[in-house]
Amino acid sequence: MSDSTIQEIQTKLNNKEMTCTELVQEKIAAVKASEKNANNSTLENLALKQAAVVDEKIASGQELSGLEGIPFGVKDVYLLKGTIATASSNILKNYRSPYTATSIQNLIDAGAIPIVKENCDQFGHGSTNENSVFGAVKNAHDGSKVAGGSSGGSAVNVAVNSTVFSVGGDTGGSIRQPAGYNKVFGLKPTYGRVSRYGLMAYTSSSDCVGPFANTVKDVALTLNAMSGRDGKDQTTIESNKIDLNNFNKDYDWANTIVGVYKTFINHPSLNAEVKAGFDSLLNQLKEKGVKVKELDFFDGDTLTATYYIIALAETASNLSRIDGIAYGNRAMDKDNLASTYLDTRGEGFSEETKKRIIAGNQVLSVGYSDEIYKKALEVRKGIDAKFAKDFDKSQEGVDFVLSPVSPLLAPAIGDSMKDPLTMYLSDMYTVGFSLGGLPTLSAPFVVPNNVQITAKKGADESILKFAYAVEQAL
Amino acid sequence: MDKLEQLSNIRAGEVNISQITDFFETIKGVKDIDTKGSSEHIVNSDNLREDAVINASAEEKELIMGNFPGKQGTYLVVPKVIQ
Repeated sequence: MSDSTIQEIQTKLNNKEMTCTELVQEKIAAVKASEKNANNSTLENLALKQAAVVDEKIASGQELSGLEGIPFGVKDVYLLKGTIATASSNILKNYRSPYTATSIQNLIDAGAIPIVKENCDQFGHGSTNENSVFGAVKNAHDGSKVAGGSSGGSAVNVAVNSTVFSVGGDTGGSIRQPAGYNKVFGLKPTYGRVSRYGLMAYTSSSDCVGPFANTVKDVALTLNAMSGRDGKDQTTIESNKIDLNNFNKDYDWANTIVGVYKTFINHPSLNAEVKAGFDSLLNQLKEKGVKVKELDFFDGDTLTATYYIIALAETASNLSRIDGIAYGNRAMDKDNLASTYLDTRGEGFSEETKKRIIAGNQVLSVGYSDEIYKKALEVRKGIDAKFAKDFDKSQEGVDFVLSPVSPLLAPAIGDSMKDPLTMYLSDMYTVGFSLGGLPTLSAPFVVPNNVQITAKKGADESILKFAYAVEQAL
Repeated sequence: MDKLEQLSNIRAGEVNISQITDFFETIKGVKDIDTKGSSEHIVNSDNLREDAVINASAEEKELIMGNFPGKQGTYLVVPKVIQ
């Protein structure tokens, strides 16, 4: 497993080339020294306590296994008992988590060490990581550009090696797109594979928990630790562990069919550089014997509209609980309950978040619900049906669909705030797979942004096996 | 906007939702949706957990109380409901 960063670190720890305490101290120092604005708070005391336990284990002659001793970052929308969870908002700036998210607890149980809560778009509302009370996160490779979002801080930390891996959240592309802008791997697993319990809900019907990492094997290792059915999240599903022994450089390229959506590659807003990078990868795969098939699909505008309408409706409902009564920064000394609600939420949420809540309530109101919201749900069923057909091998379906993560290059910091519509439309390649609940890996196999590799529901392992072979071949 | 402010419990200020609501026209224009073969992907109702009351730990209770925005001594302060 030499191409796993996690394994390399564990080997160094086992060989006593460094202690876990030194490793954690080094990573926390990197987080503190970072000028990328990727971090909201560090978890120093907690992390050093866990590191000391790992060092005791090594000192007693035991070998590390699982994810023991591996420092990781956590997007600041996950709860970790006793620590601050802000969602990068004013309203929860002092909120202390009363329990731990299942996905994070699973990683801790596997021995991984959380070291930092990472900057993100407020409640996941954004695609550039500029919608944060902690300020914009800067791109790992060009500080004048955005990191992407909403999980921008997590992508940047992995790209600059401040964390070995990080846990992001992907509702409509929030792992895949920042992974692309910062050139790391980011996986949105099959919907339900990883528990959402303890993740602040944005759009419950498409919220997914997933990892950022620097290698395919590290993505697989962290996914294995996080996954599993959870009685606290009724939408979770049983899943088999990814078997890393199946990862092989000698891939059966000739029996692999890759689909490409014509509406994506022919869209007028697709940047020429992005298209050239994508075409180059397709040509390399063709040279290896992979068959490429062009497919019809919904147009980008329809996908974006369907996604946003459903997302607005769900986030308006999910965030209605945050009103400053039981928790949150309450606007004090108001005359009555109604004013308390209005001012608490008016002062506590950002402009972008208020916009989404208000539009979401409009979507769900009389006169709009049937014509807009229910229509979007119907279109979503149509998208789901199309995916079922496209991946049906009994009907000459494909193994994978490949697509760019975004039609655009990472914009300069500040540009998207002036033109939010362009930001929304830049999600057009990611949101469809979210609506279908499909697993999709964002992989740094092309320049300037990543490529998305999508498969049918539950085929997370197939994607990672294919990606490993491509990673080794390129 | 006033009604939406009330519905959303948010003092909206200068918020402009027109760019988002443009999506409404897009969705209205979608025709001929073929849903044959679609699957419901959310909840498996055959595998529900048992109903059970599980008491929060003392630490968890303390954290929940600690998050309460208004306190006077041992009392939790909420806004006036009845005028």
